[in-house]
Amino acid sequence: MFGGRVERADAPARAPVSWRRIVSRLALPGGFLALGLILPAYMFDRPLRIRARGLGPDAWPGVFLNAIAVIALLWIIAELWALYAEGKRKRAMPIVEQAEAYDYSKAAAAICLLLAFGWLLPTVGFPIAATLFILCWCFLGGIRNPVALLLVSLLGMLTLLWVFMGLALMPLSRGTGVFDDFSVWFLRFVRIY
Amino acid sequence: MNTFELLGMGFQNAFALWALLTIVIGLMLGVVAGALPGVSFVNAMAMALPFTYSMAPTQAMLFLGAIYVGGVFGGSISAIIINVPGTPASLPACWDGYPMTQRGEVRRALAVAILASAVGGLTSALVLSFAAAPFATFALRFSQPEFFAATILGLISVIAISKDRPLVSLMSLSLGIVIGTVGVDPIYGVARFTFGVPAMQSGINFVVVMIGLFAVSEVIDLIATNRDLRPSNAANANARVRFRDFWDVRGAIARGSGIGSILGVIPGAGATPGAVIAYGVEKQVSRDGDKFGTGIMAGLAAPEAAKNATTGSAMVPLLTLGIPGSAATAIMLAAMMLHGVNPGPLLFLNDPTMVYTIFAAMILANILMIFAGIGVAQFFSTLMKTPPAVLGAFIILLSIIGAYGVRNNIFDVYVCLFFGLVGWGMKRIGFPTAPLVLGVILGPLAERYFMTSLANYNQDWTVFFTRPISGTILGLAAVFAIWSLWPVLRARYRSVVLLLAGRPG
Repeated sequence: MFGGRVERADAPARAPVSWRRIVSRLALPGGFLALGLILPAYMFDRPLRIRARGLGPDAWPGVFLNAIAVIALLWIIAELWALYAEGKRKRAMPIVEQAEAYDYSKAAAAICLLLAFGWLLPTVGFPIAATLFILCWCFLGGIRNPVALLLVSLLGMLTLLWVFMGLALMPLSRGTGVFDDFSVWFLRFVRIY
Repeated sequence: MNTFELLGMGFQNAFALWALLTIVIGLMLGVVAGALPGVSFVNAMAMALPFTYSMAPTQAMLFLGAIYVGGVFGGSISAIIINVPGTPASLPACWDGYPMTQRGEVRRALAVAILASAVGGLTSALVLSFAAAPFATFALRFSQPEFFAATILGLISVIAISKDRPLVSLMSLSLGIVIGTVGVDPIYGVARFTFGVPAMQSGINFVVVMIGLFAVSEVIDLIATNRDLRPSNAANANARVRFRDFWDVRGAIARGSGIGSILGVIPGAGATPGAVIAYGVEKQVSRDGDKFGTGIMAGLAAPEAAKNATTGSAMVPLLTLGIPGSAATAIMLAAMMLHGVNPGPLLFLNDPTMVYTIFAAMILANILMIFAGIGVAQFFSTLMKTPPAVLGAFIILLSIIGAYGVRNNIFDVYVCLFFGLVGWGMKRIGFPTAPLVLGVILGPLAERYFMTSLANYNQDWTVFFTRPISGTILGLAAVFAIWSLWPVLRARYRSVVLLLAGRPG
């Protein structure tokens, strides 16, 4: 009955380190290690045929890809050591909550919008793409008044067109096919062409 | 001609109507951009770059220089009024500036910040005017190995930017250097890391990378955090400004100006470390050091002077060696290259008019900044009422146009968006972006100097150590690296010893 091992009340209670935590801590340096090891194979599209006297074109990037692999390895060792030290501590480190509320769904929507803009820009041209982008971005940012949305997007697009295509003479994309025809008509309409 | 005559000629050019207008517009843009959280003067400079295409090289430099001077100060306006630093270097302004605003002393806080910034900037501009030419004469002795060593010093100084996480900073730097190798190599003309994409043969432009990492990622954060940028307490701005306020902080301003001027010359140091170090030094020196953080004017004046004092001195390595010490000077380097101007010691011989016009403009800009600062601070409350969504949409579009304008290439827009997403991810996980940017900028330069040095000196790599100037610079780089890493190494050693002794900390 009393033969069991008695634990002292003040004995260090090891905080278990979960696999999820280990993976999350090691994923990034692990990825960099893989990058440093794999990327040298993809340095050139074709096999190198230069007989360089001294260092070749692969030397400089090769050194830094090796550096990435070595630093990643050191990082992994440092992370493992930190996890080991964490497990040894009496209490786990308190998790500090982020002070600001971060809306990841909004961030994801913003990223999708950016990608869509990049995809649309060469196809539909700057006037249409910019108008749609300002409209959608402002809507995403919480502006719901349709008049404000229309005014901001149309006047904003016009200002940008005048400043960059009219004054700075930048050849911003006009789009392709029917969109190109529309852009040309529009640019003539606003007296930029 | 001596320095005074050259500077006089520079002032003559800087006072020309076109030059004065350029400086004033640049200053206003810089102060406004610096004051708007999420924009920052570096983004403003990147966005302004396409506008300089149609300008003469000197005018382009005056424009960007004025944005730089105004922008470094501008960040403190939002820090003091709404406790949101417009730029990272303005963070110390929140510590003692915002408590002054909370006490209803917003006018005094802004007045002290403007004056300290102007004095710091002016000191630095004078350092630039009188120290750059002797430095350039000395730099004429530089050959490829010395340029390589100086570039390595710039790369090493990255460790100091985030000295608490040297491995992560080195990783970011190495990634930047590898990104800088994309495209046709400078010696053999062989395409590297193009993955069969023809557009990648022309390489990845560092301006595009910068716009993506700084501007695009910041705007995604702005919309996701839904930050309210409106000032809440500016209405209490009724405390009177007295001459004694300025007299009381003269020591703090002098110390801050000195620290900033020295730190600015070191590539990679920049305004943020300058401001933070000046705050720390002032806290030790001041009689009210223990009260810092409660609205002490010396705690506001010293970092303000220091951060603006880095502006002029940061241009010393840029103009004399062609080495940008910060993201802002990197954009100025880009502008110079776009206009066919090669910075370096020969620039002082070939085009002294341009060089001294820039110096005179920097002095002038710091004086005009007082008026620009007061004007922008007055209207800041109104500007901040613009909904963040509208602000963000235009920042993104201006960034994309800026990226497109570098080479009139849609591929650069994709690169910009890609690095925007990468930058956002890096910020979320706390991975430093500054070393990556410096790697993309300095990496190709370092490679070119390294390879041409070896080609010129019969593939003898000892040339970097045996030539006196090159060896000294590399020695300095080693000392700087050890000095920066020492606190981290000591802390790690202690924690390991404690852990092995069974006393985990």
